[in-house]
Formats: sequence, C-alpha cells, structure tokens
Amino acid sequence: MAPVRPAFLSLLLVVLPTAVAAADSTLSDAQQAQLEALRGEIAAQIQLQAYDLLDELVFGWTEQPVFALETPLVLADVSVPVGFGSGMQALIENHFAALIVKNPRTRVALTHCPQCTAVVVHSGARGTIVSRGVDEPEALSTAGTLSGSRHALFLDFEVEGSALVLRARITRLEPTLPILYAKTLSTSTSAPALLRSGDRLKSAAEAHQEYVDALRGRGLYLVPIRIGVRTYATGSAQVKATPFPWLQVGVEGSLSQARSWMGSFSVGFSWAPELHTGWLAQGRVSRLISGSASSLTGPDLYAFVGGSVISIHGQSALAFQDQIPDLDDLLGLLAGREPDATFGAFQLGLELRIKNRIGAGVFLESLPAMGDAPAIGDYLDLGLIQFHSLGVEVSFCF
Amino acid sequence: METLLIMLLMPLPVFMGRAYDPSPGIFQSKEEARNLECTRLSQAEAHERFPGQVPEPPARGTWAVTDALACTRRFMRSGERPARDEVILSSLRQTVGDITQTASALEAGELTWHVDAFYPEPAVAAKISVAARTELVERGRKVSDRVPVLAAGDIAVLWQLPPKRAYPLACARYFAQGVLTERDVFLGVMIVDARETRLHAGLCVRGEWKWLQ
Amino acid sequence: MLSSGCVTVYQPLVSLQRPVVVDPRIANFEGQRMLVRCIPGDYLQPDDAEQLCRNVRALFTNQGAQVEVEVPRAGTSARDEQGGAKADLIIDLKARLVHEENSALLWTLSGLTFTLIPAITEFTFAQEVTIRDASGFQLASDTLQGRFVRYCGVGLWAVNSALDLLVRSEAEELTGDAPNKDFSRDFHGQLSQLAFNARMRSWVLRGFEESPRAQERLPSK
Repeated sequence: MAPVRPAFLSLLLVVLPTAVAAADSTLSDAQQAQLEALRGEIAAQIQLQAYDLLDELVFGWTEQPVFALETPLVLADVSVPVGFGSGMQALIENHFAALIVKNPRTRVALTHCPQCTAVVVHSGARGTIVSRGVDEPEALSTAGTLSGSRHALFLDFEVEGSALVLRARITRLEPTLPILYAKTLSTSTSAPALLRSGDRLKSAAEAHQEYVDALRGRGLYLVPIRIGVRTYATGSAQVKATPFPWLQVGVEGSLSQARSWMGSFSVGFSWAPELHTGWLAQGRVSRLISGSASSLTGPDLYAFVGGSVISIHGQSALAFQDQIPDLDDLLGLLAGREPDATFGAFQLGLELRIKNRIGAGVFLESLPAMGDAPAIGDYLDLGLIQFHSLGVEVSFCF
Repeated sequence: METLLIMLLMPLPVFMGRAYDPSPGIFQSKEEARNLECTRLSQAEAHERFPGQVPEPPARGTWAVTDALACTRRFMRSGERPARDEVILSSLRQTVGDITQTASALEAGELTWHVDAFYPEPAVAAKISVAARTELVERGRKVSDRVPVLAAGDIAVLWQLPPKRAYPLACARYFAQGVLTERDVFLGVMIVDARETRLHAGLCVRGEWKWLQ
Repeated sequence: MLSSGCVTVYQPLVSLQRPVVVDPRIANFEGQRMLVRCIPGDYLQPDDAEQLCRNVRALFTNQGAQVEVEVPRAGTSARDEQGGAKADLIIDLKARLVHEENSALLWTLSGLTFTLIPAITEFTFAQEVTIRDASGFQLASDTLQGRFVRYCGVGLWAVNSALDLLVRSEAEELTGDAPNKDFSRDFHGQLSQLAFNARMRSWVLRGFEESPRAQERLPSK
C-alpha cells in the first residue's frame, strides 16, 4: 500500500460547477433550536472574552490615563457583535462600571445622562434633526441636559473569525464631535483567559506570565501515594484469596505541562496480621482521555496500562499456588515454614484526577502465571487475556 | 467474540493518539471541522502561545514532531450570519487597515477626517465606519464622529444614480453646501455590487472624489 | 484495489471555508479575458500544473470568461508577456507543501496487523492565488490552506462506509470522492470570489470604465 502522494491539487479537483452553488440555508425547527443552544453557549464565551478586553482597556487607562484630571464620562453606547442579542449589553455595562469604580487611577468618573442615549428632536438652521443625544450635542447643550458631561464613550464589540475585537472611542460632546481617544483591542486567538480580578488589573503580558508560572509551579514530576485494595475472583476451589490492601509510593513524570502522557514507577507494601506481608514494584503509562491537556480547574480522566511484580509472603500466598492447599501445606505453616508467591501482573484501568493532587482509580489486573491456580478465577475472560483481579485506589500527589 | 473484541481494540492506541485531531472523522462532523480556524505553528511558537499544551522544544533538536496545528473555533458558525456580512466582518481589521493606510498616505495634512460606510445592512455599515474611524485615530489623524449629511433632496437624487456618478456628485454637494470645508476630508467605504466581498473606498477632498480601491 | 481500503479526509484550514457570495453557475465574467498561469514548483509538477490550469479554465469558461492557460517552464516567458497584455485579469496559481507526515513505523504496524491498525499519512498545502490586471497591478491575493489526511485500514474503511450508508447525510459523507468534491467546491468558490472581487476592483479603479476589450454589461448597484 503506497502512501498518498503529497501533491496535485489538480488531481483532487473535480469540475462541478453545479455543486459549487451557495448552500440552501433553510433550517428545520430542531436545527434552529440547536443553533439557539449553541448561540447561548457561544455568548457565554464571548461575554468572558469581552470582560477580558474591558479589563485590558481599563488597565491601559490606569497606566496611561486619557485625561489629566478626573473627568466625567458618559457611557454612550455599547454595541454587541452583529447577530447577537442585546442581553450582553447590560452585562458589559455593569462590568465596565465596576472596573471604573475599582480603579480610580483611570481618572474617569462615569456619569448618568439619559438624554445622551435617548432620541432627541432638534430644530435648527439645518432643519429638524432626529438623532441620539450624543450625536447632536447642540441639542443637549440647548436643553441644558449635559449635566457637566462633555465626553462620551463608545464601546463596540465585533466577532472577527475566532477573535473578539473591542473598539473603544471617546468623543468630546461639542458640535464637531472630535474623537479624543480610540483604541482597538483584540483577543489573541490563543491566549488563555487572563482571569484578572477587577481591583488588581494586570497587563495581558503579566497575566500570561502568571499563567506560565502557574504551569511551571505544577512541575513535571510528582510523588504519588496510592492506597488501594485488590480483590481476586473466586476460582474452582473452595479456597478464596482475601482482598489485599496496598500502600504504594513512587514518582510520576510527564513530558509536558499538558500531561497528556504520564509515566510512573512505584513500590508498594501490603500487610495483614497473621496472613501476609507483600511487596510490589509497578510501572504505569497513563493517557489523558478527557481532553488534550490537563485542566487547571476541572477533573481529568486518564486511562492507564501497567505492569507489576508482586511478591507475597505468608498464609495468603497459598491462594496463588497451582494446587489447592493440602495437609502438607497446613503442617508446614504450623512448623513455621512460610509460603511465598512471586508473580507478574498487567493492569488496565481508569483514573480520575483533580488538579493532579487527588485521584481515584479502578483497574482490572491480569496475572498470566495464575491461569492454573485453582483459587484464582477471572472477572473477565477475553480469550487471549483473562483479568483475575479488580482493584480500586485513591492517590494523593505531592 | 473475544477475537472480535481484540480486533476492535487493536487500533485504539492509534485513535487515542489522534483523538483531538480537528479533521472530520467518526467523532467530528465536516460541519464542525469547517467552523475551526487552524494554523500550523513551529513547536517553539506553539509552546509560547499554548504553554499548557505544547512542550518546549528540546534544546538539541529532535527527530520527532516539531510543529503543531493550532485550531480555534469561530464564534459565529457557518450560516449564522449572511455570507457577505460574515466575510466583511471577519476581515474587517485587515480591510479597514489597508484602506486607512492608503488614505492616510494620500492626505497627510492637518485635516479633519469624516467617515461613513455605504453597505446594505445598517448594522454592518455602522461596524465598518466605527472600525475605520478608530483605525484613523490610531494612525494619528484628527477624526470627527460626525457623519456629514446632505439635504433630503440631494439624497433622493443621488439614490437614483449609479456609483460612478453618485459618489463624485455627493462629494461635490458636501463641499458646495459647506458640510465639508477645505480642512475636511471624507472617507467613504462601500460595496458597489451585491456579489463582492471586498470593500471599496474613496476620498472626498475639496469637493473632488478619488477612488482608493 | 488496495487503495479502496483507504479513507481520505479533507479539512479546510485557512480561507478555503470562507463563505462565498458569488454563484459560479452564472455568467460572472462575461466578456472578460483571463490568463490563468499555473506555476510549477517543488510541490506542483508541470503535468499536474497543466491539469490544474485546465480545470480552472473550465471553471471560468462556465462563468462566461475567455480563458487562456499557461504553465510557465523554465526559460520561457515570451508568451507570458503577450498573453498578459491581452488579458483583463491574470491569475497566478502557485502551490507549496506546508507540512507532511508519513510514519514508516505506522505502515509497518499496519502491515503486521493486516491493516487493523490503520496507516495514516497527511499533508498540508498552501495554494497562493494572485490576481493582476494587464499592467501588472495587483488586484487581489490570498493564500488558501487545506489539509488531507488519509487513513488506510480495512476496519476504518468499513466503519466509515457503514456510517456513510446508514447514518451520515450526503453532505457529511467521507468515503468515495467526497474529499475531491468538497475541496473542489471550496477551491472553485474561493477562486471565483477572488476573481470577481478583483474584477470589481479593477472596474472601480478605472472609474467604472470597461477595458476596451471587455464587452459585458456593467453590474448596477
């Protein structure tokens, strides 16, 4: 089978002039409902990104204020992306007002001017003009409703591909409406949410650095402590292997901060009074299956495969023999002869991790050497491989 | 049965490795894939932009994968906005940047700039003119938020004319009526055919109209 | 026979999935003379370039244009200049390979498992489109990027064929010539839109005067 020849757009092209037409855009009710749901989901993302852009705008004003002295400012208009409803407008206004209150260094005082945003009718030399107050400051001035506010702020949000763009401008409310200040800010399509708090704003670069530091703070290596129990399926014999408690300590490493692949090595110890002492050495490879990178805030689900060598000393080791314990074995025990069993095992399991600190896992274990052990049965038989043991564990990582 | 299960499990590691491939497949529809904007980045650049997902490139180089495909979902899914509006709005920064750059280069004096957009959809027209005004201010121009308005009679006449005559005539009327003076310059941004997705622009200076693009 | 067990998936990356307004089924370029130049390179062999040009000629001819095609070879530029002087629009198409992935290890594994583990090859290409007028003034340009991923494996092919047959709508089908059709639709759509935008720009910059050669009706507002 030859690999695809990486070329020739020409060969892939099909002459299909009739198929190139613009697609029909009639939507069924179900599609419409789905679209509405998606729109809601997207609006939530846009709102967060809009907050980010407002934070960045206000941070800019704290660093380089637009006005030399504290100046009253009217929030004249907030326009949302074309295709979006106006529900977002109120949220943006509230967030912006909160930012201004928390950051007096902006030298801006938001003032209330209902006439500025209302439609006014103004008759003058040029005839009768119907417009918003901010677009006809003469009308407001004549009516004496400017109430000291001589500057209007316009915030315009627009979706441009996968970026949200904020265009802010401040206009002086005088007949020529000169624009004193204008700024375009765009969400970087890749930057993580900046998560700045309103009263301690940071620049985008600082916030990015904080994020990188937070990632680095997690480190690539962890020390997991696992506490678990393994149970064994009952075999054909009347003898049953008791559940084994295990305490494991090891080291776990990942190639990148994404933690999409992890490897670990641990040693374990098990003890039950009068029954056994056990040792274990285990290696594991885990793959993140709940996303492409581990989450800083939510749980992560990993699938893992592993291999272990287990050594059991004491009465419990009798269950791992090829034969049913007989009188000789019991006499040997009475004579102080301690049975032991050493065998290999392969695990397949799932682990749920929270912030790479606490985890809970469940796994199936195959003991290839125990195929003939009458005391050990199997939970799952896949023909080529049988799983004899079922385990659960909790982990704490340091 | 078991053999079948094993056969099904065999390709699993390969698929897990490609679980987040953005191309269409069993778990991702073509439509979803088309709503992504993807770019290929070098590993170093990808690590800089996505430090949580892409590891730092090894100092001594490697034989393994050294680049990344970074995909971001578009906010507006295909078909949510009319096609022309979507194209115009998605490329607004670039288009308006090109137009204002050309316009600024042509008229570099101490003039007051006025901007208006002529587009069938008023909401999109407003976005275009806001973008152009903002961009001009950022380029250091003196810009007014006031849109020059002609008398109703003028507008009624201009409405009937083809673009070839309408814009130059409107420009002359602005100047004749004193809406624009010698110290003003008017930048008009528009489309002239319903089938195009690229904006045109023209400048009105001292009563003379000049097409920019 | 062997390639029938493969599924090729097309994914538009940059600009190819952009909405198109112009309808390539109607005469958008009536009376226009076009010169389409498919420039061979490392990625586009001369034979493939010729086929690409023939294909694009069909696209624009269907829209009413008179199209000449040219595949420039090393050391031949005379026809270039002559053809360019006569054309209203000169469209240059240049392709390059942005990325390629083809693991020998995966092919080996695939062979050992009788393709139960699929072999995967992928490549990302960039198609550069530049449109100029007869004087050489650049009217439009764009870079279209897409990606093809080819999975070769009997299991995967069977699953996808079954899904196409039973579950997926026609527009969502992955097997058969679906990738070719999807790519063609995108490429032809973008090329038509770019050419139309270029044509309008040229018309506007000439003060809405048609070039002496073009006889088509003027579009009205």
